[in-house]
Amino acid sequence: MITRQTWINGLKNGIETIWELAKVVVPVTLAVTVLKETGWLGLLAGRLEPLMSLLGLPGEAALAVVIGYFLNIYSAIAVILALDLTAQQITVLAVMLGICHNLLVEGAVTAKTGVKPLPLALLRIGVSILAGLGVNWAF
Amino acid sequence: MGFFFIDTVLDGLQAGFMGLKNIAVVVLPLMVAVELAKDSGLMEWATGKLQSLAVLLQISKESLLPLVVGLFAGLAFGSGILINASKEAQLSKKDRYIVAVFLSLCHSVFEDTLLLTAVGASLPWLLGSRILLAVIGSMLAARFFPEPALGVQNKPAEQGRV
Repeated sequence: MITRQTWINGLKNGIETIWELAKVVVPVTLAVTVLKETGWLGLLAGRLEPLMSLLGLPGEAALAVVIGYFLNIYSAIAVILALDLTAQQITVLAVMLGICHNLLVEGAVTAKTGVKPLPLALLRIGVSILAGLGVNWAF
Repeated sequence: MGFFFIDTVLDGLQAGFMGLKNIAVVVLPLMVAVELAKDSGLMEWATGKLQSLAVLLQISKESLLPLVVGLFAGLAFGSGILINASKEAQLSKKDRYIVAVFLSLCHSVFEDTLLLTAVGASLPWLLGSRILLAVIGSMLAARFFPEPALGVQNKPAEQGRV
């Protein structure tokens, strides 16, 4: 049943989520911007360029993928905000990250239902990469 | 060099706060909407409407509520209900396995999708690919779930022959 409490809970959740986001998004975007503009990110990106180009992505985007896989979508979004990407590249990344993110925490959550987390994590990584290849090809 | 660095920091802060603003505009109404959906019984209603999904994924009707809740409200909520439902309704291992495969590939569709759309991703691609792959993934999981004793009786091919 919808009560006043429903609205209060919703607003509370919303404000809490935005606060959690602010704590992640602003510093991570700042850090990645500094890494990018000082050229340090380019050093890392150069090595990953051949791999990421299969997905139509620049080498820097590897940072968004790794951070999203192991941390969460919020931090990955912060990386995306700091990079200069096309709509296609953002969509490829978004599809990959939507399918596979926050593996450690979500793995622990699903493990509570009695399902083994490692095969699920591998499934998510595999499907995520295949989906990225597919979207890059078809978009 | 010093000015360059200050410029860089300002660039970074600007990108961060602009992004945060775009996200906040999405998140606040969304969280209210999710609470309204939960408390209004919309999840139960959607579960009623999605019975054919249970048939498609070969899961029991009892497993459909955790799936729908996880799909819309998030993995933590869905898993919570799944854990409770497992205790009360005696969900089979196969049910839990299929729901977990589905939800691990696709959950909190509103939040994740809108957050990523807020930074420039294409909504139909994002939502479509995720739901499609979750359906395919869990159908394959259902198809290949090793279930020696019960599975044989449940196979459509066996029923067809009789």
